[in-house]
Amino acid sequence: MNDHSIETIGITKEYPGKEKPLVAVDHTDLLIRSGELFGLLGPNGAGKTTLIKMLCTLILPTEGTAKVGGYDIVKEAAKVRETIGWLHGETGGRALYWRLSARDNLRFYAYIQNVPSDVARKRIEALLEFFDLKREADSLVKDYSTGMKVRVMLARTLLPNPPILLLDEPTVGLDAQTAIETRKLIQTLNRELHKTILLTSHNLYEVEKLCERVAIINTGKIVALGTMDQLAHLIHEAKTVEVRLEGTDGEAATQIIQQLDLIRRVVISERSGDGWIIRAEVSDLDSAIPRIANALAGNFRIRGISEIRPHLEEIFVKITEGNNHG
Amino acid sequence: MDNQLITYFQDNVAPDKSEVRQTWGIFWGQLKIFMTYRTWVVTDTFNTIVSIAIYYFLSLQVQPSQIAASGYGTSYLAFSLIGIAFANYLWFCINRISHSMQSEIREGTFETIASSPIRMRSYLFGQAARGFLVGLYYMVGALAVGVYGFNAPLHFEPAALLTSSLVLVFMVLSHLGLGIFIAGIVLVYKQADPVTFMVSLFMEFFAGALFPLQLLSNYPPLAIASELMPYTYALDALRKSLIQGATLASQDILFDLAVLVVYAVILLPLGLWSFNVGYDRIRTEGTTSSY
Repeated sequence: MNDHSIETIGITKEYPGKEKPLVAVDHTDLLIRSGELFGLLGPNGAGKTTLIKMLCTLILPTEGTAKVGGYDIVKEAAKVRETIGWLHGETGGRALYWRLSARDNLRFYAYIQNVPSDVARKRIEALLEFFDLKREADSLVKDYSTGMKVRVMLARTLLPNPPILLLDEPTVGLDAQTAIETRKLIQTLNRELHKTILLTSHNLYEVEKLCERVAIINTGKIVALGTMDQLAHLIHEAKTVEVRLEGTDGEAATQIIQQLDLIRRVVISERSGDGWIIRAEVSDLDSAIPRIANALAGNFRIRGISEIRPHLEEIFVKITEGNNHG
Repeated sequence: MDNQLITYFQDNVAPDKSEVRQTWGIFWGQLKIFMTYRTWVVTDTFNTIVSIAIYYFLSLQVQPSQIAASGYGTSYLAFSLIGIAFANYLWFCINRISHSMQSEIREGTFETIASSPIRMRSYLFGQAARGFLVGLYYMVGALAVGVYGFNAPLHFEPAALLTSSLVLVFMVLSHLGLGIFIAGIVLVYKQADPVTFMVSLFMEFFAGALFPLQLLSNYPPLAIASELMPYTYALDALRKSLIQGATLASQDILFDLAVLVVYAVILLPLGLWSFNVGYDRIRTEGTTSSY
């Protein structure tokens, strides 16, 4: 496998429309490094699932090329299928055989995923144990809750131990505890077993917590790509600094901060418990923090001064809104 | 992730890519699913018995001389029992592949299959094998009810059974391509019930499942169509072996078998090819999960 487990070059998918073709994925270039945990975000209908289904070889691209695990998704589709594990969590367990038990579903998939029987037996028991399915392992899946079905789907995805995992909404429908465990599992699969993981989720907290890099796709195009810091920079020309003071007399400190030349504007100045919080947009973060500390020193007791990073949710909304309006 | 789990995923195991194992996996899983539909199995068994009773009472109205002219003995019950039991068997086998395909698409399991390393032909053969085995249950049951319940005069000697079993295998192989072709239609058009119904009707009519084919001699186009149906040759060989006790030493049986082999050699690759065309079409249209 080369340095990039997933590589798309100008990949495009058009569906025939009534008046003009519907472009689901539009000349998308994406490079996902081997061993990377990569997040793909986008509003509904943005093209995430079409892109993933092309990588799974389920949909043929109209234009462009893509390689998964070094194999071309069109010319070497069979090899690609040996390399990937795909989970479509949004189906809520639809993609399982409901009239088979969890154990039989896994045995069935072991056959079609080419997992040797002796290895499959051990892995199935370990996965049933891990996903807390052992007690109901021989009951028919049709009687399971949605969360249990998603857990069986996760177990099935991991069963063949593929080097590349395409996890489309892996925690949807899971209870909080199982979702936390699953996130830990995803992290461990990436860190300890060096799996390359492409993760899509509507849970932005999940993506922010797990992924090294994130791409935002909207109307079929990648509109932003980078680390959290790089994405934050895209939406914030000015950085925000938060100053936390002891005592409730923050008005005077606010006036001092406002007069500093690096300060663009104070966005928040308010009491917080037994202290005071001031947030200000600054033009130069590195210079602003020591300047604020110097200006307040002596007259105020400073609890802390730090940069405020926007959450992924804010970044996502701003980028997709900007993209839709622009 | 607990340590026990992680140890099972650290091994570098060579995959077992055996197509026989993949086919067995599909057969095993599908048979297991089928066995959960117990009510369906019971009602279908009941239907089989009732349909044989219908042919039994119908046979009381048909003159033995009318059947004798066809060259298959004098019992209309034996004549129609073979015609309908094997036609139902074939229809069941053909229909199972497309029916399973329809269910897989509707239930969302088809995409999981299609994105896994299994070869599509292993998947299709596994589905077909399940249909053939379950169909065998109904077919043998129908023959047994006819013979032991309604005294249909059939030859169950070893030589006749061996001959009819061989004919059965080639009958299945010669029609498997058709079943796979219809499964390809399901992939693209999502429905195939009218097609399978039409195929089964044509099969029963043109092969003479319920009437002697001599009756078609006054209608040349129909007689030609009858000669083009592989089931005609299968039915001829089955009736000759099970009603008259003919064996593989018979020239007629060998001719019928040769025709079935030719059909198998032509139709099976054609069926697989057309299925692949349909499969590529839904991948182009992005409709692998539409139903």
